[in-house]
Amino acid sequence: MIFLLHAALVWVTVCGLAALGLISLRFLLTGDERLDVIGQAIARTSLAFGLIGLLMGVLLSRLEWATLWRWEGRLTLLLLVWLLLIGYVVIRDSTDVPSRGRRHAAVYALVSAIDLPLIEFSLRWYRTSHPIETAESTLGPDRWPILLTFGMLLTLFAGVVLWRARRDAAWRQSAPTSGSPTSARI
Amino acid sequence: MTFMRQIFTIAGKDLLLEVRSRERVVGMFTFAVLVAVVFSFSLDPTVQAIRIAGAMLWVTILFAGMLGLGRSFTLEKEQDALVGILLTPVDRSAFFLGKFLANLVLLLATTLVIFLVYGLFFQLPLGGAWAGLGMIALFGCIGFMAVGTLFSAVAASTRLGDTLLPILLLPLLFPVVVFGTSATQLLLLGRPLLEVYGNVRMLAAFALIFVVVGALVFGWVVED
Repeated sequence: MIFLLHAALVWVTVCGLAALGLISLRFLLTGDERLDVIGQAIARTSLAFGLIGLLMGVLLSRLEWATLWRWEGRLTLLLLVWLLLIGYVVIRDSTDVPSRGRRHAAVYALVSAIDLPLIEFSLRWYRTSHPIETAESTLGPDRWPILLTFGMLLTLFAGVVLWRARRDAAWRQSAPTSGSPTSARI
Repeated sequence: MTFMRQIFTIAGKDLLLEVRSRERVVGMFTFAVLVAVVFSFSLDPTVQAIRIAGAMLWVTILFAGMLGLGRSFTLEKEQDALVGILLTPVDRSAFFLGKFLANLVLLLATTLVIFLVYGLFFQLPLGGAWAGLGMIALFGCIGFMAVGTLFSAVAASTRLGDTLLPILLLPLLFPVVVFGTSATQLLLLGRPLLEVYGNVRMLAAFALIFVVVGALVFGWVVED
Protein backbone atom coordinates (compact mmCIF):
# COMPACT_ATOMS: atom_id res chain seq x y z
CA MET A 1 0.00 0.00 0.00
CA ILE A 2 2.77 2.43 0.98
CA PHE A 3 4.71 1.36 -2.09
CA LEU A 4 1.71 1.99 -4.36
CA LEU A 5 1.12 5.45 -2.90
CA HIS A 6 4.81 6.33 -3.02
CA ALA A 7 5.29 5.25 -6.65
CA ALA A 8 2.07 6.96 -7.78
CA LEU A 9 3.01 10.18 -5.95
CA VAL A 10 6.38 10.19 -7.72
CA TRP A 11 4.63 9.88 -11.09
CA VAL A 12 2.13 12.62 -10.24
CA THR A 13 4.89 15.01 -9.11
CA VAL A 14 6.97 14.32 -12.23
CA CYS A 15 3.86 14.86 -14.41
CA GLY A 16 3.30 18.08 -12.45
CA LEU A 17 6.74 19.41 -13.40
CA ALA A 18 6.27 18.39 -17.05
CA ALA A 19 2.87 20.11 -17.16
CA LEU A 20 4.37 23.17 -15.47
CA GLY A 21 7.03 23.30 -18.19
CA LEU A 22 4.44 23.17 -20.98
CA ILE A 23 2.20 25.77 -19.35
CA SER A 24 5.19 28.02 -18.71
CA LEU A 25 6.22 27.84 -22.38
CA ARG A 26 2.71 28.82 -23.38
CA PHE A 27 2.70 31.61 -20.78
CA LEU A 28 6.00 32.97 -22.15
CA LEU A 29 4.70 32.89 -25.71
CA THR A 30 1.28 34.42 -25.07
CA GLY A 31 1.77 36.39 -21.84
CA ASP A 32 -1.65 35.18 -20.69
CA GLU A 33 -1.87 35.81 -16.91
CA ARG A 34 -4.36 32.96 -16.40
CA LEU A 35 -1.68 30.46 -17.46
CA ASP A 36 0.61 31.88 -14.81
CA VAL A 37 -2.07 31.39 -12.15
CA ILE A 38 -2.48 27.75 -13.24
CA GLY A 39 1.31 27.30 -13.26
CA GLN A 40 1.57 28.65 -9.72
CA ALA A 41 -1.21 26.28 -8.58
CA ILE A 42 0.49 23.30 -10.25
CA ALA A 43 3.86 24.14 -8.65
CA ARG A 44 2.48 24.47 -5.12
CA THR A 45 0.29 21.38 -5.41
CA SER A 46 3.19 19.35 -6.84
CA LEU A 47 5.34 20.48 -3.91
CA ALA A 48 2.72 19.21 -1.45
CA PHE A 49 2.27 15.89 -3.29
CA GLY A 50 6.04 15.55 -3.66
CA LEU A 51 6.62 16.12 0.05
CA ILE A 52 4.12 13.38 0.95
CA GLY A 53 5.84 11.18 -1.66
CA LEU A 54 9.24 11.82 -0.09
CA LEU A 55 7.94 10.96 3.38
CA MET A 56 6.33 7.79 2.01
CA GLY A 57 9.65 6.95 0.34
CA VAL A 58 11.51 7.34 3.63
CA LEU A 59 8.92 5.17 5.37
CA LEU A 60 9.13 2.55 2.63
CA SER A 61 12.91 2.52 2.81
CA ARG A 62 12.70 2.10 6.60
CA LEU A 63 10.29 -0.83 6.31
CA GLU A 64 12.04 -2.63 3.47
CA TRP A 65 15.73 -2.09 4.19
CA ALA A 66 15.76 -0.69 7.73
CA THR A 67 17.55 2.49 6.59
CA LEU A 68 15.87 5.87 6.35
CA TRP A 69 17.33 6.91 3.01
CA ARG A 70 18.64 5.00 0.01
CA TRP A 71 19.84 6.58 -3.25
CA GLU A 72 17.34 4.51 -5.15
CA GLY A 73 16.25 5.73 -8.59
CA ARG A 74 12.64 6.68 -7.90
CA LEU A 75 13.32 8.45 -4.63
CA THR A 76 16.30 10.35 -6.08
CA LEU A 77 14.23 11.49 -9.06
CA LEU A 78 11.49 12.70 -6.72
CA LEU A 79 14.00 14.62 -4.59
CA LEU A 80 15.50 16.35 -7.64
CA VAL A 81 12.08 17.24 -9.09
CA TRP A 82 11.04 18.57 -5.70
CA LEU A 83 14.17 20.78 -5.54
CA LEU A 84 13.45 22.08 -9.05
CA LEU A 85 9.91 23.01 -7.96
CA ILE A 86 11.36 24.79 -4.92
CA GLY A 87 13.53 26.80 -7.32
CA TYR A 88 10.44 27.84 -9.30
CA VAL A 89 8.60 29.02 -6.18
CA VAL A 90 11.65 30.82 -4.75
CA ILE A 91 12.28 32.76 -7.99
CA ARG A 92 8.63 33.78 -8.14
CA ASP A 93 8.49 34.97 -4.58
CA SER A 94 11.83 36.76 -4.30
CA THR A 95 11.61 39.48 -6.93
CA ASP A 96 10.37 42.98 -6.24
CA VAL A 97 8.73 43.20 -9.66
CA PRO A 98 5.97 40.53 -9.83
CA SER A 99 5.76 40.43 -13.64
CA ARG A 100 9.48 39.77 -13.93
CA GLY A 101 9.39 37.11 -11.22
CA ARG A 102 6.62 35.27 -13.06
CA ARG A 103 8.55 35.30 -16.33
CA HIS A 104 11.81 34.22 -14.73
CA ALA A 105 10.08 31.41 -12.88
CA ALA A 106 8.45 30.29 -16.14
CA VAL A 107 11.87 30.17 -17.83
CA TYR A 108 13.17 28.07 -14.93
CA ALA A 109 10.21 25.68 -15.19
CA LEU A 110 10.73 25.34 -18.95
CA VAL A 111 14.46 24.59 -18.58
CA SER A 112 13.70 22.13 -15.75
CA ALA A 113 11.16 20.28 -17.89
CA ILE A 114 13.71 20.04 -20.72
CA ASP A 115 16.27 18.75 -18.21
CA LEU A 116 13.84 16.13 -16.84
CA PRO A 117 14.54 13.40 -19.46
CA LEU A 118 18.29 14.01 -19.09
CA ILE A 119 18.06 13.64 -15.31
CA GLU A 120 16.04 10.42 -15.66
CA PHE A 121 18.52 9.11 -18.22
CA SER A 122 21.52 9.87 -16.02
CA LEU A 123 19.77 8.20 -13.07
CA ARG A 124 19.14 5.08 -15.13
CA TRP A 125 22.73 5.10 -16.31
CA TYR A 126 23.92 5.53 -12.72
CA ARG A 127 21.75 2.61 -11.63
CA THR A 128 23.25 0.30 -14.26
CA SER A 129 26.80 1.20 -13.23
CA HIS A 130 26.07 1.18 -9.47
CA PRO A 131 23.30 -1.42 -9.14
CA ILE A 132 20.96 -0.94 -6.19
CA GLU A 133 17.88 -2.98 -5.36
CA THR A 134 14.61 -1.10 -5.82
CA ALA A 135 11.19 -1.77 -4.38
CA GLU A 136 9.97 -2.91 -7.81
CA SER A 137 10.18 -6.58 -6.85
CA THR A 138 7.38 -6.34 -4.29
CA LEU A 139 4.87 -5.36 -6.96
CA GLY A 140 5.15 -8.37 -9.26
CA PRO A 141 3.91 -8.40 -12.81
CA ASP A 142 0.51 -7.00 -11.91
CA ARG A 143 0.33 -3.43 -13.18
CA TRP A 144 -3.25 -2.40 -12.63
CA PRO A 145 -3.15 -1.47 -8.89
CA ILE A 146 -0.48 1.12 -9.52
CA LEU A 147 -2.25 2.51 -12.57
CA LEU A 148 -5.46 2.77 -10.57
CA THR A 149 -3.71 4.56 -7.68
CA PHE A 150 -1.97 6.85 -10.16
CA GLY A 151 -5.29 7.66 -11.87
CA MET A 152 -6.99 8.47 -8.58
CA LEU A 153 -4.13 10.65 -7.34
CA LEU A 154 -3.93 12.44 -10.69
CA THR A 155 -7.65 13.24 -10.49
CA LEU A 156 -7.17 14.52 -6.94
CA PHE A 157 -4.17 16.55 -8.13
CA ALA A 158 -6.14 18.11 -10.99
CA GLY A 159 -8.98 18.93 -8.58
CA VAL A 160 -6.67 20.66 -6.11
CA VAL A 161 -4.95 22.58 -8.93
CA LEU A 162 -8.28 23.80 -10.30
CA TRP A 163 -9.51 24.82 -6.86
CA ARG A 164 -6.28 26.72 -6.14
CA ALA A 165 -6.21 28.38 -9.55
CA ARG A 166 -9.82 29.60 -9.15
CA ARG A 167 -9.10 30.93 -5.68
CA ASP A 168 -5.87 32.68 -6.79
CA ALA A 169 -7.50 34.16 -9.88
CA ALA A 170 -10.32 35.60 -7.76
CA TRP A 171 -7.82 36.94 -5.25
CA ARG A 172 -5.69 38.50 -7.97
CA GLN A 173 -8.69 40.24 -9.52
CA SER A 174 -9.65 41.81 -6.22
CA ALA A 175 -6.10 42.89 -5.32
CA PRO A 176 -4.66 46.08 -6.82
CA THR A 177 -1.98 45.52 -9.46
CA SER A 178 1.54 46.34 -8.33
CA GLY A 179 4.85 46.96 -10.04
CA SER A 180 5.02 49.38 -12.93
CA PRO A 181 6.48 47.91 -16.14
CA THR A 182 8.85 50.84 -16.67
CA SER A 183 10.78 50.19 -13.48
CA ALA A 184 11.15 46.51 -14.39
CA ARG A 185 14.77 45.96 -15.22
CA ILE A 186 17.37 43.62 -13.85
CA MET B 1 27.24 44.05 -37.06
CA THR B 2 26.95 40.40 -37.84
CA PHE B 3 25.75 37.91 -35.24
CA MET B 4 29.21 36.44 -34.69
CA ARG B 5 30.81 39.85 -34.26
CA GLN B 6 28.16 40.80 -31.70
CA ILE B 7 29.00 37.66 -29.70
CA PHE B 8 32.73 38.38 -29.77
CA THR B 9 32.24 42.05 -28.89
CA ILE B 10 30.21 41.16 -25.76
CA ALA B 11 32.65 38.39 -24.77
CA GLY B 12 35.62 40.68 -25.46
CA LYS B 13 34.12 43.40 -23.29
CA ASP B 14 33.69 41.01 -20.35
CA LEU B 15 37.16 39.53 -20.74
CA LEU B 16 38.75 42.97 -21.05
CA LEU B 17 37.02 44.02 -17.84
CA GLU B 18 38.35 40.87 -16.23
CA VAL B 19 41.90 41.43 -17.50
CA ARG B 20 41.82 44.93 -16.04
CA SER B 21 40.19 44.17 -12.68
CA ARG B 22 41.14 40.48 -12.27
CA GLU B 23 38.60 40.22 -9.44
CA ARG B 24 36.76 37.10 -10.65
CA VAL B 25 39.89 35.21 -11.71
CA VAL B 26 41.65 35.92 -8.43
CA GLY B 27 38.55 34.88 -6.48
CA MET B 28 38.03 31.66 -8.43
CA PHE B 29 41.70 30.59 -8.48
CA THR B 30 42.19 31.26 -4.76
CA PHE B 31 38.94 29.49 -3.92
CA ALA B 32 40.05 26.43 -5.93
CA VAL B 33 43.40 26.24 -4.14
CA LEU B 34 41.74 26.71 -0.74
CA VAL B 35 39.22 23.93 -1.38
CA ALA B 36 42.10 21.62 -2.34
CA VAL B 37 43.87 22.55 0.91
CA VAL B 38 40.68 21.92 2.92
CA PHE B 39 40.26 18.52 1.25
CA SER B 40 43.90 17.61 2.00
CA PHE B 41 43.45 18.25 5.69
CA SER B 42 39.91 16.98 6.12
CA LEU B 43 40.42 13.60 4.46
CA ASP B 44 41.32 10.65 6.59
CA PRO B 45 44.96 9.68 5.82
CA THR B 46 43.87 6.12 5.06
CA VAL B 47 41.63 7.30 2.20
CA GLN B 48 43.28 6.89 -1.18
CA ALA B 49 42.82 10.33 -2.78
CA ILE B 50 42.76 8.91 -6.30
CA ARG B 51 39.63 6.87 -5.48
CA ILE B 52 37.62 10.04 -4.80
CA ALA B 53 39.52 12.48 -7.04
CA GLY B 54 36.68 12.67 -9.60
CA ALA B 55 34.25 13.83 -6.94
CA MET B 56 36.70 16.32 -5.39
CA LEU B 57 37.58 17.82 -8.78
CA TRP B 58 33.97 18.30 -9.86
CA VAL B 59 32.81 19.67 -6.52
CA THR B 60 35.57 22.27 -6.76
CA ILE B 61 34.79 23.09 -10.42
CA LEU B 62 31.07 23.54 -9.63
CA PHE B 63 31.54 25.80 -6.62
CA ALA B 64 34.39 27.83 -8.11
CA GLY B 65 32.26 28.27 -11.24
CA MET B 66 29.29 29.47 -9.23
CA LEU B 67 31.51 31.93 -7.39
CA GLY B 68 32.51 33.46 -10.72
CA LEU B 69 29.01 33.34 -12.19
CA GLY B 70 27.59 35.38 -9.34
CA ARG B 71 29.65 38.34 -10.51
CA SER B 72 28.70 37.95 -14.18
CA PHE B 73 25.40 39.83 -13.98
CA THR B 74 25.74 41.79 -10.75
CA LEU B 75 28.49 43.54 -12.72
CA GLU B 76 25.94 44.58 -15.34
CA LYS B 77 23.50 45.64 -12.66
CA GLU B 78 25.87 48.27 -11.30
CA GLN B 79 25.07 51.69 -12.73
CA ASP B 80 22.41 50.05 -14.95
CA ALA B 81 24.97 48.89 -17.51
CA LEU B 82 22.51 46.21 -18.60
CA VAL B 83 19.99 48.79 -19.78
CA GLY B 84 22.72 50.31 -21.92
CA ILE B 85 23.48 47.00 -23.59
CA LEU B 86 19.80 46.23 -24.14
CA LEU B 87 19.32 49.61 -25.78
CA THR B 88 21.97 48.84 -28.40
CA PRO B 89 20.77 46.79 -31.39
CA VAL B 90 22.46 43.64 -30.09
CA ASP B 91 20.56 40.43 -30.66
CA ARG B 92 19.43 38.89 -27.34
CA SER B 93 20.82 35.48 -28.33
CA ALA B 94 24.16 37.09 -29.25
CA PHE B 95 24.18 38.84 -25.87
CA PHE B 96 23.64 35.50 -24.12
CA LEU B 97 26.26 33.69 -26.20
CA GLY B 98 28.78 36.50 -25.59
CA LYS B 99 28.29 36.38 -21.82
CA PHE B 100 28.40 32.58 -21.97
CA LEU B 101 31.64 32.62 -23.93
CA ALA B 102 33.35 34.99 -21.49
CA ASN B 103 32.17 32.90 -18.51
CA LEU B 104 33.33 29.73 -20.26
CA VAL B 105 36.85 31.09 -20.87
CA LEU B 106 37.14 32.02 -17.18
CA LEU B 107 35.83 28.65 -16.03
CA LEU B 108 38.12 26.70 -18.36
CA ALA B 109 41.12 28.63 -17.05
CA THR B 110 39.98 27.90 -13.49
CA THR B 111 39.41 24.22 -14.34
CA LEU B 112 42.95 23.97 -15.67
CA VAL B 113 44.26 25.45 -12.43
CA ILE B 114 42.05 23.05 -10.42
CA PHE B 115 43.42 20.02 -12.28
CA LEU B 116 47.01 21.17 -11.86
CA VAL B 117 46.59 21.96 -8.15
CA TYR B 118 44.90 18.62 -7.42
CA GLY B 119 47.50 16.85 -9.53
CA LEU B 120 50.20 18.48 -7.41
CA PHE B 121 48.58 18.06 -3.97
CA PHE B 122 47.24 14.53 -4.44
CA GLN B 123 49.79 13.15 -6.94
CA LEU B 124 47.14 12.39 -9.58
CA PRO B 125 48.37 10.81 -12.85
CA LEU B 126 47.00 13.53 -15.14
CA GLY B 127 49.56 13.09 -17.92
CA GLY B 128 48.35 9.76 -19.25
CA ALA B 129 44.71 10.73 -19.70
CA TRP B 130 44.98 14.43 -20.53
CA ALA B 131 43.08 14.21 -23.82
CA GLY B 132 40.07 12.44 -22.30
CA LEU B 133 40.08 14.61 -19.19
CA GLY B 134 40.28 17.73 -21.35
CA MET B 135 37.29 16.62 -23.42
CA ILE B 136 35.18 15.83 -20.36
CA ALA B 137 36.13 19.11 -18.70
CA LEU B 138 35.36 21.05 -21.89
CA PHE B 139 31.88 19.60 -22.48
CA GLY B 140 31.04 19.61 -18.78
CA CYS B 141 32.03 23.27 -18.48
CA ILE B 142 30.07 24.24 -21.62
CA GLY B 143 26.90 22.66 -20.21
CA PHE B 144 27.51 24.17 -16.79
CA MET B 145 28.09 27.67 -18.12
CA ALA B 146 25.12 27.55 -20.53
CA VAL B 147 22.70 26.88 -17.66
CA GLY B 148 24.77 29.03 -15.30
CA THR B 149 24.84 32.16 -17.46
CA LEU B 150 21.09 31.98 -17.99
CA PHE B 151 20.24 31.70 -14.31
CA SER B 152 22.91 34.07 -13.04
CA ALA B 153 20.87 36.72 -14.88
CA VAL B 154 17.76 35.45 -13.08
CA ALA B 155 19.45 35.29 -9.66
CA ALA B 156 20.91 38.79 -10.06
CA SER B 157 17.42 40.24 -10.40
CA THR B 158 16.05 38.67 -7.21
CA ARG B 159 16.35 39.90 -3.65
CA LEU B 160 18.38 36.81 -2.73
CA GLY B 161 21.03 37.55 -5.38
CA ASP B 162 23.91 35.10 -5.65
CA THR B 163 22.61 33.03 -2.74
CA LEU B 164 19.92 31.72 -5.06
CA LEU B 165 22.35 30.52 -7.73
CA PRO B 166 23.37 27.15 -6.20
CA ILE B 167 19.74 26.40 -5.31
CA LEU B 168 18.74 26.89 -8.95
CA LEU B 169 21.76 25.32 -10.62
CA LEU B 170 22.66 22.20 -8.66
CA PRO B 171 19.48 20.17 -9.38
CA LEU B 172 19.64 21.16 -13.06
CA LEU B 173 23.30 20.15 -13.29
CA PHE B 174 22.68 16.65 -11.93
CA PRO B 175 23.48 14.96 -15.31
CA VAL B 176 26.77 16.88 -15.58
CA VAL B 177 27.74 15.78 -12.07
CA VAL B 178 26.88 12.11 -12.71
CA PHE B 179 28.57 11.80 -16.10
CA GLY B 180 31.47 14.16 -15.36
CA THR B 181 32.57 12.64 -12.06
CA SER B 182 32.33 9.01 -13.14
CA ALA B 183 34.21 9.63 -16.39
CA THR B 184 36.95 11.63 -14.64
CA GLN B 185 37.25 8.94 -12.00
CA LEU B 186 37.55 6.12 -14.54
CA LEU B 187 40.19 7.95 -16.58
CA LEU B 188 42.25 8.76 -13.50
CA LEU B 189 42.16 5.09 -12.54
CA GLY B 190 43.79 4.34 -15.88
CA ARG B 191 40.79 3.05 -17.82
CA PRO B 192 40.86 3.50 -21.62
CA LEU B 193 39.13 6.46 -23.26
CA LEU B 194 36.72 4.13 -25.06
CA GLU B 195 35.15 3.18 -21.74
CA VAL B 196 33.96 6.74 -21.08
CA TYR B 197 32.84 7.43 -24.63
CA GLY B 198 29.17 7.26 -23.57
CA ASN B 199 29.75 9.83 -20.81
CA VAL B 200 31.47 12.22 -23.20
CA ARG B 201 28.56 11.89 -25.62
CA MET B 202 26.01 12.63 -22.89
CA LEU B 203 27.99 15.65 -21.66
CA ALA B 204 28.21 16.93 -25.24
CA ALA B 205 24.44 16.44 -25.70
CA PHE B 206 23.71 18.30 -22.45
CA ALA B 207 26.02 21.13 -23.54
CA LEU B 208 24.47 21.42 -27.00
CA ILE B 209 20.88 21.34 -25.72
CA PHE B 210 21.37 24.03 -23.11
CA VAL B 211 23.48 26.37 -25.25
CA VAL B 212 20.62 26.36 -27.80
CA VAL B 213 17.87 26.59 -25.15
CA GLY B 214 19.73 29.38 -23.34
CA ALA B 215 20.14 31.43 -26.52
CA LEU B 216 16.44 30.96 -27.34
CA VAL B 217 14.94 31.83 -23.95
CA PHE B 218 17.38 34.55 -22.85
CA GLY B 219 15.20 37.25 -24.38
CA TRP B 220 12.46 36.44 -21.86
CA VAL B 221 14.91 36.80 -18.98
CA VAL B 222 16.22 40.29 -19.79
CA GLU B 223 13.24 41.87 -21.53
CA ASP B 224 10.39 43.60 -19.72
